[in-house]
Amino acid sequence: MSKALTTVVIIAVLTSLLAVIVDLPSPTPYSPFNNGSLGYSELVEISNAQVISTINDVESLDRGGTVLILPLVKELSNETYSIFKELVSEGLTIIVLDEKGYSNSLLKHLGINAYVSNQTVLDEISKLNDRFHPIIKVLIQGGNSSYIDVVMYKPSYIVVSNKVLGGVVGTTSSYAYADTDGNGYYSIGEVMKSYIVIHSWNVGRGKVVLISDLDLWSNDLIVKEGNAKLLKYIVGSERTFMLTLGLEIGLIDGIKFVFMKFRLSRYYGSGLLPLIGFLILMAVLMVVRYAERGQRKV
Amino acid sequence: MTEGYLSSGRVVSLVITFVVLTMITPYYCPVVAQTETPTLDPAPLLKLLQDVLSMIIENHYDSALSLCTKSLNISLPSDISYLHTRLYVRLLKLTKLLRSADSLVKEASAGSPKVREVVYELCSIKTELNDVINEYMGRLSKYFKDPATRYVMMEYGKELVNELIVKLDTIINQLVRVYLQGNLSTTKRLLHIEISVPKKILGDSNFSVVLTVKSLINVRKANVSLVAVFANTIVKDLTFTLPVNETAEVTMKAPPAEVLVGSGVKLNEELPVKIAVVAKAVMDNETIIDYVSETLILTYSKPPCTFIIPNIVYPNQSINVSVISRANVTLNLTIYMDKLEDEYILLKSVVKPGENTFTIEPKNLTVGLHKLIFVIEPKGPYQGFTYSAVFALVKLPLTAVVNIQKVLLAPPFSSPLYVYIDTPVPYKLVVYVGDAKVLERTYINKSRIVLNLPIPFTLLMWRYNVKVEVQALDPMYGVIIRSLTIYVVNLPLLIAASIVLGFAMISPVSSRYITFSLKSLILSLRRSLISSEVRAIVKTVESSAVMFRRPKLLKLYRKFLRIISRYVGLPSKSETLREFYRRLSLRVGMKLRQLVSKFLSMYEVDLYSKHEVDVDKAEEVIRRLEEVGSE
Repeated sequence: MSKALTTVVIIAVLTSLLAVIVDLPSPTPYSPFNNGSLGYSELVEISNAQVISTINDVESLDRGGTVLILPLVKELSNETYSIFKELVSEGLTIIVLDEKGYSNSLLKHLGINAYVSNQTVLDEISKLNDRFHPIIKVLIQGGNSSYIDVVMYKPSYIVVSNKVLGGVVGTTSSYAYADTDGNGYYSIGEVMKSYIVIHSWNVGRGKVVLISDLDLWSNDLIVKEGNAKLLKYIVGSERTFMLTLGLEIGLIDGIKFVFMKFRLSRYYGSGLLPLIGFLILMAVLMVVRYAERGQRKV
Repeated sequence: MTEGYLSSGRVVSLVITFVVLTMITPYYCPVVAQTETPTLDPAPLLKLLQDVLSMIIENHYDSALSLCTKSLNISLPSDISYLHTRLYVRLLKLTKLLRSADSLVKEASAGSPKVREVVYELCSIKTELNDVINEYMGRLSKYFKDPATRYVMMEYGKELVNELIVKLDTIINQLVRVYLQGNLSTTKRLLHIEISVPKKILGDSNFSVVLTVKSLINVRKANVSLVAVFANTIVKDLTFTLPVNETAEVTMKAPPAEVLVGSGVKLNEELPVKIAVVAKAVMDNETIIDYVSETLILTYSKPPCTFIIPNIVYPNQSINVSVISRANVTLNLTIYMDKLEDEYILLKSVVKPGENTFTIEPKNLTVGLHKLIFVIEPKGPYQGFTYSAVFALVKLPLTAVVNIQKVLLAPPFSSPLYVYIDTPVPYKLVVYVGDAKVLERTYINKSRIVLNLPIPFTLLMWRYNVKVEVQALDPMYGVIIRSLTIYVVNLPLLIAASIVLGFAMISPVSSRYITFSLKSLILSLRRSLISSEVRAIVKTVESSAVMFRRPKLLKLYRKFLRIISRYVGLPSKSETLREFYRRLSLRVGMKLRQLVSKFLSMYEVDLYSKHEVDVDKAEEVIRRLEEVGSE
């Protein structure tokens, strides 16, 4: 193989790998780079959020007029909680998405007497298609209280010791039940009642909105019922960030994040452009190669 | 150059393919969440129903209405959706009725048509609702995975249904009372009514209500209203004036069965009849009133009919059925074949008192068991009745006698076959000899026939199975099969064969040939025995000769022994060649003796010396020995 051809092949492979990495959808659940049904790419798009990944990014945020979306699929360190506490007391709004109780320590740090119970809530009466998708009535308290209906997927529920007036409270219908034995059906001993699945508290000058479901704003559900409307209501016109520290981010997400950080690519959109660019490059190189062959024959 | 170019071209092609595929693949393989569609969980639906029933029972009609409306918006699987909607539409209607009934009980006046209408609707919806709730709960119960949860939820649901029925009965009674006497709160009870009614009455029959109005004050006459409510559905009323302290006997008639059934009442149980009497009198411009009620039991009997149908029916034959009715009214009868569905209706008619005969002509019935279902509609004093009887559709057996002679001395190769068919119907006769069909004929009207049955050619003697199949051409008759056996003897051939064999056995030529054959047989047996012994000896010689060298004349020596052994046998193990020669020389002639001596001398030289032996000469000796032996 000639040197020129070797160069062509190397460039082709590198270009294609780069294009594939930029273009490949992330399979990580709740990743902002995942444009599948479990991803948060729509959430980032609709809320116009900037993705951040480290606690240093968080520390550098403006305190007032800023919303931080924090999905949790794992525990964070106490140091992180302390930073959150400081930021919230100075005016930051945190939206915590957690269905396994990873936020319970954070709530304790923030002085909120509530916790997320790691039990799935199902509802056969008020639902979208099936009981795994309960419809939640979210009460927007304020001057003129109003309701937004949203749909969740197998949410947990929030146990609140003292109800606080004001803010946002989302509850299931009174026929929902916590599936304690996990068999997907109501069993004797399980309690049918209205469960709280969204609750907000004012903490210092800031605010904490706790949502006991990670799927509320997933790409699959964000377009359904009033899910996007609720997001827009909570975020408003404030600057929004999404912190991926509480997610199990994979290698592809990491690379995409680096590209995005250095503005090498966008984390969403069509992959057609890199493909066309690559094909043009290949065509040019092939023409050069044929020209070389023609000269040698002469 | 060309090869290098091709190789490079392939590499480039592969790279392009890889790149294009990897870039396109993500668009066709999006990361999709796994979705699962669970089956219905019945418990929340039952809880919802329980809540609605509880709210109705506890008079929380607004909440019940709200829940009913909510229930009608639940998306459910198609198999239960219709029933769910049907149930909640009725619960919604009931709730609205009960809300208006509440105000009627407080405010309505006696004889109010509105009260009467509400009573009628409540009675109607009560019966209907009971059925729908039971069906709905039954359908939901199938969805339960856990029997304990099913039991708890279903039992509580049933309790609430019973409570609701009791509540409805109470409200209906209250409304009936209001309808009869108005609001009682402002009247004084200075009249006293005594009534006497039978405890049990029959449908569509007269019964008497004996009543007396008594008063402690000076009142001469009272206006009496008598109301009978049959099965909470049919209301009959009567108003008349009755002198106080006098007894009156009022004759009423229970509604016929068809009227109650038309109102949605089931007649297969005892039904309640409420008799309410209100007496009113005026004294000093003030109305005095009394009210009394009694409950009777209304029953409808089964129609006294006896059904007679044949046990066995033949194809294309009409079935005569008789229905003997001891009822005093004409009843409506529908007869079904096998299934209670419209398309299986055979006959619609009436059954008059006495014996009724019906002729049914079923079509396309298969052979086997069938069921006739008689359905008598409710009428007069009789409730509905269903009777079924099984009959068998069979084919008539054919009676046939078939005969054939047991032994046939052939030729000719044919035997008479006698067939007698007892039933004079057209039939087809098929005869098989062995597996081969030899005859097939159809007879229109012939009961006795003699056939010339062809038998296959037989060499000497054989036994054949003869199968005769009689197939009636009338579908009323079945098929009959008879099996017979015939021995066929080819007499001339058998005799000829015996003669030939006998002559062959006793002729001199044959006997000589037989003797010669036996001798040859014995000789060959003997030779084969000797040959096996020779092989054993030669083997021994071979094994011992290995110690020196292989003799050149070994093969010829083996041949020599085979030739010479017929005269003196084989040399024994302890016998030397010379000793063997001595023994041999005593028994054979000179010529043979010389040849033996010559060969043994050469063999000794070959065995015990290093001199070259003349193999050709030895072969010549053996050849000559063979010639002498065969002479």
